[in-house]
Amino acid sequence: MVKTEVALKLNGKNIKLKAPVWKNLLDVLREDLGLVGTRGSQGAGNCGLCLVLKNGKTVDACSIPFFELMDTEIVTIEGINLIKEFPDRSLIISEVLKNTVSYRSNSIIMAVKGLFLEKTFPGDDDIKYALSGILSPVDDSNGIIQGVKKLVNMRSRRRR
Amino acid sequence: MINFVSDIYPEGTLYGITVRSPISKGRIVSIKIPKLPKGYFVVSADSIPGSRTINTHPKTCIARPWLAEGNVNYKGEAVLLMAGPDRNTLSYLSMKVSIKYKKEKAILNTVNAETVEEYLCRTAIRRRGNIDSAFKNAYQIVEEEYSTGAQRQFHEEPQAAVSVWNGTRLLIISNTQDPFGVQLAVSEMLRLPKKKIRVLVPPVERAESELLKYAGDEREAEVNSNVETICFNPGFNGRLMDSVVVAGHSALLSFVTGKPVRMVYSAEEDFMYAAKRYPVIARYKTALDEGGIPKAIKAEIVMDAGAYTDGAEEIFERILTMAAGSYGFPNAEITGKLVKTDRIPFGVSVGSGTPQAFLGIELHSARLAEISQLDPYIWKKKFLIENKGILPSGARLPDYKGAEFVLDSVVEKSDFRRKYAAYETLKKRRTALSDTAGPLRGIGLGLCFQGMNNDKDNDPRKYSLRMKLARDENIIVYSTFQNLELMRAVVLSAAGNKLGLKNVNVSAAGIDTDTVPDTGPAKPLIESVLIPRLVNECISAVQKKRFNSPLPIEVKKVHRIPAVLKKQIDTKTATTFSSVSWAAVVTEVELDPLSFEVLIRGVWVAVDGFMGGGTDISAGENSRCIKATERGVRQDIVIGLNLAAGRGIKFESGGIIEKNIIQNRGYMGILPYIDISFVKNEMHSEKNTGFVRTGVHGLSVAAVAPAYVSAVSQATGFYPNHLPVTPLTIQEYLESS
Repeated sequence: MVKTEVALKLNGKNIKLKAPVWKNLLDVLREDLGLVGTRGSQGAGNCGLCLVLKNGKTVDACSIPFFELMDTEIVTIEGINLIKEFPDRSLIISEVLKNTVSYRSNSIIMAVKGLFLEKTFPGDDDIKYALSGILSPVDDSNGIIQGVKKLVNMRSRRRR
Repeated sequence: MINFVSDIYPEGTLYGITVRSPISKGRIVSIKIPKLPKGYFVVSADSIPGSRTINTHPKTCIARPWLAEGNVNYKGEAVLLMAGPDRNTLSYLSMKVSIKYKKEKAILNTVNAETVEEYLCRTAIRRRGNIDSAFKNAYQIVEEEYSTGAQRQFHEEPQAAVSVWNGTRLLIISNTQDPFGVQLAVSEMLRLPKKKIRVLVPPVERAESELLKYAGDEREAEVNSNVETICFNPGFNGRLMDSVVVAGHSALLSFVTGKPVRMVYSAEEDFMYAAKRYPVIARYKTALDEGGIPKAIKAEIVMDAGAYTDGAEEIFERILTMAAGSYGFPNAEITGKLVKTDRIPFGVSVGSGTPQAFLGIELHSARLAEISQLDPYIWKKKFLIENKGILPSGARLPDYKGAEFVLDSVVEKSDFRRKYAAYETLKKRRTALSDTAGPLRGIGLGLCFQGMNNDKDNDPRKYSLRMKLARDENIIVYSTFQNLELMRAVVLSAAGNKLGLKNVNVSAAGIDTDTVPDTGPAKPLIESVLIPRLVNECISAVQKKRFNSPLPIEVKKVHRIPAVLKKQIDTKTATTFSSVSWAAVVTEVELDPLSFEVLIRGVWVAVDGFMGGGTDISAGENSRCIKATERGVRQDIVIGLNLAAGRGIKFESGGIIEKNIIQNRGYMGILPYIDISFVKNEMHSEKNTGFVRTGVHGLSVAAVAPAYVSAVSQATGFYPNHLPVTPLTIQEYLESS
């Protein structure tokens, strides 16, 4: 079994990881590191469940080969509150998810966090783009989008 | 620490995968397995020590085998199971397995299956009045055919199970709706006594907060205590037969290898091989007199069960019962055919057959209303079921007046009559679609009912519920019910009413076959019958013991069929419904005359099934119940719209096209304006439940689809007869005409 070693920063800690070359980031997180908050379904970018932040941008963990992780900074849902920028996880849970959780909520939290890291005041199209492919047919998509808009307003009030 | 099944990785676990048939029908000629590295295993049907078919539905026509032996009957059928410590190696080895088949002619669509005798599993006929004479004297005969395709049953977590066999006992952790069904099926497969098999269903609603330890969040405890429990798509989320299969496969692998085995379907595997909604073809022929009054109806229902029929018979019966809708046709003939095809076994989905039954008859009734030049609301009211609630199919509806209440409510709220008249005038004035300057508009009305039946009455399993009044006067319920919101509300109400305990703390014990009794598969239609009945019986038993015995008091009650229903079942006079709930839906749409993109302007829903938690519980609890129910209705509307206007499931040489997964998931656009109202039906019996409460879940799906299609039809002048209706199908039709 061909293994490779990479050094990366995961949830604020510098670590070295050894894993078979064919593994992707999602497998490493869930199977080797026990960070099962990043959900997945062993597919290839088809379910929108495995969002993580790679160097501050949201990416599907299942589509990143393990060997591409050298010198990157990865933040998963377990470490999301180490990023102090607005909004924190509790706020996303209360305003966007309306205090409900499901199998997909971690992915929505990551998408919203990534959106606010990328754009200070995201517009309607930015919000829809960030959430596209993540919301499921049975999600209250209107409620979620309204929740994100509320966060945008909160941020703009704080800035003032 | 308990979490989602797919998040569980026991120490030393092996991954399990399924080797599937690449052909739709054929005979297995030979199986060649490559030399396996140490620690890798292959299991075939020959390794099964007990029953080789899944016996959860003992009276089914064609039972499903655990693993194919001899023949394969659909593309994707499980032939072998493999287990090993590395998933990638396992998947490489699975590709090296060589199975040779001798292909046979497969039947891959419902229409072809109808004509082949060996594919016809069951037929049925229901008659009322003198159908021949009515058709002979008819002034006009209207004939139409409608069909619904397969629909994905959306669930977030794929089918998953983790099994651990320690030599004496088997532990199965599964996200099933029917833990005792899994226990029964696996015990027969492995020839183990049931007590040696323990099935656990993780309480997913709390999983997130219990699982994750978030770094750097000091307010975590506060956040977790504020996180509301969510029973996602309560109970009924496509985890009946498929979950039994996955749990059985992982149990078999663990039993053979002696190691923990984790079997989790990938999103693609789940999409392609998990059960989809039964496709149905409905053909209607109605005899009208000179005044446009329907005198007789002939309905022919053809339901496709897929390769195996487990569970299909129950849905087939339900569809036949509801095939003539809510209308009192004086003469009727309803015939039904349950056929098999060489495709994936289809399955029970939200609404349990109601959407398939009502789509055809509601669209047909809209057409009849148009022919009679009546507004659909007036037509429906005029021909609604009367005669003590006896349907043309012979079934009796106990709460049949509900139709009027919901119709009146939804029509008033949506301003249906005014809008319908206005859009009808526009449609008549128009000579061609290109004449329209602005968008094309239409509005549709759908009506449906859902009967809570007693299909458990013929089931050999005994269903019971256990309840404990603890020392601190809190109540703990032991059951396999997954609709915790409903159970909590019923317990609170009954405890307040009978025990005088206000705002008591109610908790549900975790679902574990070792500690809870078998309360049956967590199906909303069943739960809405059993929860009120069993909870009230338990509370009454506690009431009797309360001042004679010290706390804690523990009671257990077994489900028994009410005498009236038992008599009906014994004499086979009618299909029995213990209660019925109604829904009426109005959908208004706007279409772009060039692209035919549909914008839904609003959906108005009235249901008579739920009136909150009753008077015996606090306002806060009441509002919580209503919110949870509204959330369920909202989900039903989305599922209904998805059925009517989604992408649908497409088959190619007998298998589901994998790339369709993209269209069948994810963001489906901004939800329209949705108005939900709960209407009081004075006919609902309150003696059993203490307050008005019947099944709501899955109800609205059946009325949303016909309302949407009628609206599109009014807007375009095109009469769709197959779901889903997409801009492409509209365009194709208009171009061809």
